[in-house]
Amino acid sequence: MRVLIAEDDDETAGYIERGLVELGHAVIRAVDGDEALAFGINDSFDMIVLDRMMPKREGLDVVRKLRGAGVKAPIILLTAKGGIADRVDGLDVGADDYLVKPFAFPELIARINALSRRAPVSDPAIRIEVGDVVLDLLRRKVTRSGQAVLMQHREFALLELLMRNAGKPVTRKMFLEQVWGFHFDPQTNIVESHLSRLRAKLREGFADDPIETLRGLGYRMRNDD
Amino acid sequence: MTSVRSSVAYRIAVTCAAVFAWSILALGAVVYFVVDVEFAHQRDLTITQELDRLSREPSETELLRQLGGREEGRLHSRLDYALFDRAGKRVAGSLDIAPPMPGLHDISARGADGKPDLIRVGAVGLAGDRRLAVAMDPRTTSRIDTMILQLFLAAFVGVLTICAIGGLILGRYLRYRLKGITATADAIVTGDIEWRVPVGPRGDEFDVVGCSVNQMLDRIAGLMENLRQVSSDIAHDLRKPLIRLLLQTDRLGEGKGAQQRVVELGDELLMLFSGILRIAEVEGGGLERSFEQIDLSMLMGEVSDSFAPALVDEGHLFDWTIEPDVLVKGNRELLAQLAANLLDNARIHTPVGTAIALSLAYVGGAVRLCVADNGPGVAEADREKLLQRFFRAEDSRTTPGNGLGLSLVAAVVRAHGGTVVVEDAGPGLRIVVTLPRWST
Repeated sequence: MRVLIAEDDDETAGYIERGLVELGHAVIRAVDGDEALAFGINDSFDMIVLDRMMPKREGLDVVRKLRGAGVKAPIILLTAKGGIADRVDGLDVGADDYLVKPFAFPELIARINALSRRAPVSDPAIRIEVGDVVLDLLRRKVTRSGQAVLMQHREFALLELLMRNAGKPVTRKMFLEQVWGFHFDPQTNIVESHLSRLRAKLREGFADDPIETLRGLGYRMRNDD
Repeated sequence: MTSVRSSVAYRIAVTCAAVFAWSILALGAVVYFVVDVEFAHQRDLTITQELDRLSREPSETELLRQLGGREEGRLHSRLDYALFDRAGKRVAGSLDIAPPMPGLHDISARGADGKPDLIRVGAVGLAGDRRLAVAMDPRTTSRIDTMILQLFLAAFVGVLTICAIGGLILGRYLRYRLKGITATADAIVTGDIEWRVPVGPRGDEFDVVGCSVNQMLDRIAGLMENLRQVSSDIAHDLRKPLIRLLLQTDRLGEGKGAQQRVVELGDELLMLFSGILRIAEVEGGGLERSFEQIDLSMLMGEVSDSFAPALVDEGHLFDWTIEPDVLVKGNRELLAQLAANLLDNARIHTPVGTAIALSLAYVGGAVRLCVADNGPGVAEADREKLLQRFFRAEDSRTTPGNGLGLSLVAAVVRAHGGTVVVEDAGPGLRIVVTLPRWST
């Protein structure tokens, strides 16, 4: 994957770059807003990671201009500002995700993975199949090896997020943001409790658990293909 | 000390004095002019009437007698007379001038003291081509004119003097009153924030300004104290996790668990900062822009539904009672976090087996959100402090948390124009949030 990283802080940019290169991605770095815009328009990327506050041109403006120029690549905004209004602004101009600094590198990777997979799925799929688990989005039904599994609305949403990202980690924050719409982290482990119920339902009558826990990071749907 | 020229008080006084003085001067000029015109008119009238009366005398003898009598008897002390014969020779009267033409004239004549004077003369022709002249002594009028001028000049000087003295006194007084404010400002600049403007008992303009300034200073002092308190609290509360983090780094070589613990401690620190920033954001104001109509019943239902499994997993009982269609104006995420923090708080600070209840209803025209538990409760002295930043009751020192959850609740409630009260649930603790209901 070709990733553009626009971040004026050398240390942060280097840290992200090293991590991504280790994972086998090609990374191009831009040091200010103008450069990010020039690279973004003239080159083609699979993913753009933009710092919101950059010299010469604000991140929001870069996103607006890139979208205006018809750039379709997913954009993740990084920001030190986690304010409520800031986040809305970021998504309004056309960014796909918004990550508040400081963040753990695996969190960023999880977001990048989720976004890079979202693109093909964004056409109205009515059925997602991972291993022996099948999600019928139209009828809101779940089956495992053809056997119906009764799910609550929220459990269904959790499973959908996991299955859309099959084989990739989904973090606690991603669950909270995308299933609950919470951009804060309650001290009570609501994600864990709901997932353990979801897993119990999926496991009933089977030997194996299609979902695995990634300690300190989140969860992953096993993808044996 | 400002110079007299730059003093507002003195400038006001000088301006007042100038305005008064010039008014007096203008008034004097007008009075002088009016009086002068009126005198001239009166004088002409007197002369004409006298001529008229005398010219109506039928006989020569009677006229001479009249003239002689008038000059002698001083009937009109200010009038002088002259009767000229056909040849223009003065035959009666003491007025020493050449025979004037009929009508009123100003004629230069030698006065009694021998100096030339401009006198007013009226003349009329009599039978036999004789001519009668009546003149008025000019000194009377000019004496009155002079008196008027002198009077007004004296008034002018008097007003100038009074204004100057008044101005000096006013200036001194203003300076004296302003000195209280200046002294206070100076004292505060040098660091004594406790100083206040002295306020008199009369409640005049200066006292009103003084009161306002004092209120402002009280507010600033309060904010500064709050800030000082918060920064020292932050410094204090950050030390603990930082020290733990440092101690943990020493054990980094001891395996994967130690490394994980370092990450957790780092996360804890970050959470603390996020909490502080969140509160600052909410307290900073300007969130009203993001406010919209929120179906609080639905939102509280979602939060309760989300928390229920986790609360039950940890051994608590959880029950919620929600009146449908409760609408408020607010920010969805902040209201969700408010409820989440209340439930977090109830869970963390109560033992296993405690029942937690959330209720939402319209009560007396307002929206009442209540989270109660039947746990050990909180000592009465500590209840109000629960809402303060970083406050942690003595027996909760060992439980997780950073003492920010409920202060965020308080900040969110304030931002939504509501109130929050901490009550004894007997047994247990009840936190009651009252929010204004949605109105269009």
